Amino acid sequence: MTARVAPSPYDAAVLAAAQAVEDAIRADLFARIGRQAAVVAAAPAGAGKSQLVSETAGLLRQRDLRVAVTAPTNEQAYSLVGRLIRLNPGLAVSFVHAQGRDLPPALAALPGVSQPSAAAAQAQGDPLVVATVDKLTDAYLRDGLGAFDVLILDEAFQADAARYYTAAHVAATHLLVGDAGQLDPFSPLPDATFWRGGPEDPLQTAVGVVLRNHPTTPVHRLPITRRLDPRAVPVARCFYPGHHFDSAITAGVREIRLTRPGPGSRALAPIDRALDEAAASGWAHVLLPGAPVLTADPTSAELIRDLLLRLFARQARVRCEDRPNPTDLRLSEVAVGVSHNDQKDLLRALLDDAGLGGVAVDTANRLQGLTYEVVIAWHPLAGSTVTDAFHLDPGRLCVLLTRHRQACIVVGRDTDQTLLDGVPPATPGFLGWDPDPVLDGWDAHEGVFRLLDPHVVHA
Amino acid sequence: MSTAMEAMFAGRIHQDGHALRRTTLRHTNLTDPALGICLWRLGGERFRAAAVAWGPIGGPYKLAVAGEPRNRDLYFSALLPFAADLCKRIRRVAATQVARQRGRHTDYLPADALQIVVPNRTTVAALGLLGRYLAYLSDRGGVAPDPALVEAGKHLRFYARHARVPGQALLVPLDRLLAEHWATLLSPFEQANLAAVDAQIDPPRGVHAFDSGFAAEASARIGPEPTEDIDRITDELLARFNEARGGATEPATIGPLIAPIEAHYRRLVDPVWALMARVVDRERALPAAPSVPRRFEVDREAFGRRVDWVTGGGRYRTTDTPRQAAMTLRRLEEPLARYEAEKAIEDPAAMVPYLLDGEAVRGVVASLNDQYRVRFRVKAVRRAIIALDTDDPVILPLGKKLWWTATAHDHHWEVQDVTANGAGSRITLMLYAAPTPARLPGVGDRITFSVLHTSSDGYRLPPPQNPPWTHTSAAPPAPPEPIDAGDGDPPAAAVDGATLPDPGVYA
Repeated sequence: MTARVAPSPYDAAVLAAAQAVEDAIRADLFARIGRQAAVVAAAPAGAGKSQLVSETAGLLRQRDLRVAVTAPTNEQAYSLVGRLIRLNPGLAVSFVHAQGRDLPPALAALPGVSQPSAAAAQAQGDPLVVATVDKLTDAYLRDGLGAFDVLILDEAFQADAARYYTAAHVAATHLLVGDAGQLDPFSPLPDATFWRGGPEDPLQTAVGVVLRNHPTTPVHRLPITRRLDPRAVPVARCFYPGHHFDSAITAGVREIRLTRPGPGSRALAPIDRALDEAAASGWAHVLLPGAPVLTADPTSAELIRDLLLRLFARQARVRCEDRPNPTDLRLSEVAVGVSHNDQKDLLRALLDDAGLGGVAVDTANRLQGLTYEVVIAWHPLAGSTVTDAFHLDPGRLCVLLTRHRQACIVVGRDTDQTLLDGVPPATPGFLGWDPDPVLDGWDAHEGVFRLLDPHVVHA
Repeated sequence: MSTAMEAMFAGRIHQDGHALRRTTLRHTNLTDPALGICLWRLGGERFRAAAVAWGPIGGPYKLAVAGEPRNRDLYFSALLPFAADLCKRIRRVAATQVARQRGRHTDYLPADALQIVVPNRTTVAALGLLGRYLAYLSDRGGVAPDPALVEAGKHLRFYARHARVPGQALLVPLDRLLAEHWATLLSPFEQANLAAVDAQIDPPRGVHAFDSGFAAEASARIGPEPTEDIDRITDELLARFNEARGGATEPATIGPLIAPIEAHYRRLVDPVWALMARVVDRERALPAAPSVPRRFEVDREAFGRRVDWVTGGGRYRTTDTPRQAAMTLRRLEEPLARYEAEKAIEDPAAMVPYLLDGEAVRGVVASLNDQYRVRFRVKAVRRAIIALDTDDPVILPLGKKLWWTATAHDHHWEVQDVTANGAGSRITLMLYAAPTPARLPGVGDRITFSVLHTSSDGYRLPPPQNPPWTHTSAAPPAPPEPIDAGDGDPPAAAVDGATLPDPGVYA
């Protein structure tokens, strides 16, 4: 008698296609070592960029090459340190940080991790240094930290050309890895488009400046998302026109189980319907009655709190490729994504009061690169009366709708979609700069509304 | 911009019938008198000023009209008095210097700076384009343009670029000044019409702001872009002028012929000039905020440095290098944050939006403990804890960083706890620094905390002079044509739909 072999939760064809692209990226990179050249790896949300970065860094170290790994934010850099150690046990990783930005204790305690000063890292010739782009820049200028063989820049579509300018000096050969669908570099200046279209534009992405000056730089597109399951992929594709990708996971592998609502829950029926819809299809679009409201609308915030309370009251359990047996959903596996800081503050206070302190609440730009089982997204256009570049930004919506592994519940108002009725606004054009955040965002929002239509639940 | 505040303003203005002040203080320096400039262009000629009026605000103006600005000789000859006067004024102001002591270092900067006031931001852009055109003029047939034109071009280019600095007052567009100090019923697009804004601030007796603004917007012409009706008149006058001069450019011939065009532009400039004086007078009456002199000192320093460079024969690139652009971006972002913070910290009315949006809290200090000890890394350190009672309930997340407005340049406080307290809230805050008397409020004081602070992000080293390979093109671009190339060419024939084949026509 032979034992039954469980079917693989992974799509072998998708994995093979992704592996082929990763191999091509590394082959191109290794062929350029020692030259002033770059390789670009563009990935959709959740493609496993950090894994690519960490594995590539390990392979470069096996060749005894000196490597600098960098990312725009501290959280991204922390995550890279953890991933580097997990995928390359025994590797020595030097984390160079700004004052008060030490690694969290759990990461600092990992074998092989050290936190030298920039001067010490340079004096010792530390072979693998991780730092934020700003810290790497400062360390290069103050302490001469540099002369690496390879610079790996993670989240390279988030890093602006101004910051990259100095960091680019630390090595001749660069690997730029990033997600073109996420938020572009941003400045609070009212005329931040002053240089747009010019080669000197400091707010173009690191990838943008390299491709503009060196158009023959190879660009590889990873055809995979490991975070999103097949139900989430059609929505995610709205943000990556021309970039085809599929889920690494086969349908039905991931599942949320909720207890039945039970007697006496009629008052919570809309919330239960939303949770059931999200559990069944991976999406729910919960709509409050249309009204022009303040950015930090208390009604929307209370609805989000109630959705979360009910999610945990119904003892949500999750199953996936890593957890074949359903286990309880933890608070730390859930996040709420918003567009404004006042929304974040309001929700943080409400959730803390409700005993949901472990649920992450943050703005889209700070959620970039992070993964949760369940995400509640406060729609950027919720209750708005106007469509502007900030709220239409496709990158913001992309981040909010692509952080989840299991389900995403979008909260808005039933008049939001009507904002896109009619003709899109006139937008300025810039010679030498093709993207148009407003019109691209208009298209992406229309596509997303259409795809979410079958999942609408009226609150 | 606070949605709640804007909604409140819209309701109040609708009810009261006139615009409302956003501030109790003036946050922009206004010198007395500033140099006013009012510009008109020909439709479609972005680099050419068809008429330039200049003079002290509130005083008489001089007018430079080229007649035919597309003719290089006529254009330069008309602009020369303006250019020479501008250069003379700038040099004169820059000549008087004062010493500034910073520690043991003494430097000298102009005692004043020439402030230029224009009706709107479009004029700022127009002056920038005019400056760019004049600053890079090339020789024509071995004849160099008058140096005053080139120098004035460099000055104008500097002014227009400096106008990007948040809070600067070297080049003041009045529409922006009013938008910062007044709430109106006008959209940002409509606010570009200074007359419409002014009409909402000071509507005629018995007329609602909406109606007076609407009427002003429909009738008032501010420039520099001509409306269609103006362009039609200008076109007819230019045609007659060009026919009468028969190609002549000598002053003796041109002088008598240009009078109708001058009169046309005087009719356009007169109301704008009076409007500019009225707006400046009204805003000058408001007391200046305490930080206004500091910001104008920054302006004076920039002014002095640029005048030295330009009068010393210095040249500027037409576009920034990647390094210059990167440095400029950072140099502009820090003043923006500081300007916004200073405005709200110094001006209670400007703090209101932050209070409404939960970015600030105001209350009475109920208790103070400056002997509180917390463990920081390995040792216990002394910290101060206060309880702040607010009149209204507030929602603040724990751990939020706030600055007391009296020490906004110093260390932050962090929210430790928020509890209900009668109709309001009690907020517990901890100072993240050693408690000193200057850092601590008194019990019973009514004080404000906000997310705004004026401390610097710290000194950043400048990027390397040599650009990295990533920011350098593999193929260097071809050298550009002279900016005035084609000046001597005959104008292109007008596009006439009747003479062009229509590719979409049915066969």
